[in-house]
Amino acid sequence: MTRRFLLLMGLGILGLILNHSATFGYQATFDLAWHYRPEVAASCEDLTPPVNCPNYDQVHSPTYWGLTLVRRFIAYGVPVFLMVSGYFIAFAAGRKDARIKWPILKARVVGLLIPYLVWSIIIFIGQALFYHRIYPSVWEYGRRLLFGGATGSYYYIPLLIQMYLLSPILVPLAKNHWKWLLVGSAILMLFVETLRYFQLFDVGQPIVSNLISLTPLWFFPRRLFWFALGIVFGFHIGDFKPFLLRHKTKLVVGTVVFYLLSLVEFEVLLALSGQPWIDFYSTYTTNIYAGLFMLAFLSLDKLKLPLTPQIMDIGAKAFGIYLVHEQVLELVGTLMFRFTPWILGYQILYQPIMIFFALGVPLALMRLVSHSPMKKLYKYSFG
Amino acid sequence: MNASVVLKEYIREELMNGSNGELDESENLLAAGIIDSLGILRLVSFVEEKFGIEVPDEDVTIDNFQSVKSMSDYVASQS
Repeated sequence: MTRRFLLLMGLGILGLILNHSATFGYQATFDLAWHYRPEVAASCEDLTPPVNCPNYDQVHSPTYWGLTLVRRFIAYGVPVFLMVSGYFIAFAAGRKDARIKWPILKARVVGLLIPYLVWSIIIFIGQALFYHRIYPSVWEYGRRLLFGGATGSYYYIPLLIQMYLLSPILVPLAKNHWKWLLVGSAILMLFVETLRYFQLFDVGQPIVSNLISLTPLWFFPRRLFWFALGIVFGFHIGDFKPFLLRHKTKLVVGTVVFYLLSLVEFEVLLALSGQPWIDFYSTYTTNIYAGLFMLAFLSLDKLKLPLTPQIMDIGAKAFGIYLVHEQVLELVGTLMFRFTPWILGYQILYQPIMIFFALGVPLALMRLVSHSPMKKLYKYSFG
Repeated sequence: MNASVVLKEYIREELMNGSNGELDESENLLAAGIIDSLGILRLVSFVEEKFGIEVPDEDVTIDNFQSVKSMSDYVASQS
């Protein structure tokens, strides 16, 4: 099972890259269409930068479906990372004692914080130099550092640190009252996700908007379930494993069904919203699909994937790849926007280029640092 | 080559990124920040591959994997 987890981590980080690359793909297809489609530019009222002239005539086009099918498929990315981190906490606490020791937590928090701070500062400098993006005050930089605001995906580090700090409370619950822990954290997640549905349909305002502002992505209630699931899994693996093996067919069928339902649910929400486009990724069915995907994958212990050693190797480098990939995507996307804008209209070309660099550059950087006199800095830059 | 030496070499090279620092056999690798969530997965995979043993999930415990000594003792008990 441990090897399956490492393989799952590899699939998780590859999924995260595909997810973020697809997000850039949506942006290129909808928000930046004016830049490479003259007829769209002609319909824009104002082309003075920063241009705000989205065009949604590609919704439900083959390009849209290509991006959407991929993006919904890899919804398991963040849940995988949190579940593996929870599994580690169960390991570190010890199945007999079920007590997590402070030096271990401290080591984990420091191990996350240093590379996170290093890359956040590099990103702030890069944003100022290359994109002239300068925040108005030192406080704003401090706020962004605290909540993972240097770049979109960095919310995950403050989130994970909260999970680790909560683990002295979660560990005894996961050991002795695991059903209550899973049900409680699932209800919490359901509540937070439901707020987003209310907001989409403008129900219960302004209370809903206030509650949403209290439950941002970096705050633990929205994702606690996945971490708790990992701890529970770690403590009760002897019970879970036979269950997974017994129900593997149901889990696989459920995964396929909920993947399809996640596509349908988004289309229904989009239609009901009456808007040309909605930014609504984390739906009920997407979360259920992500959970089923992980369990189904773990249950298929004999399933051999092509390139397994390579995917496991990528999984082993997941943290370093995670820290760097989004900046590479932004840089490569910006370069294509400036110098080869026509590629933005051909996602079949755009996506492989983005994915190649988003995976290749972090791996090359990690290799460069680990094989040079700078290797002592590796731990501080890639974890 | 005994298990302890092989494990030390792997940990130094892969988990400590080629560090020449001291690695005590009894050092708690979790508290030292050497083993993290990915580290334990990598270590178990390495032990399985290198020593040709299958590590059951129930054996992936802190008692068996918290230090070089506990790991080499575990490997010896399985060989």
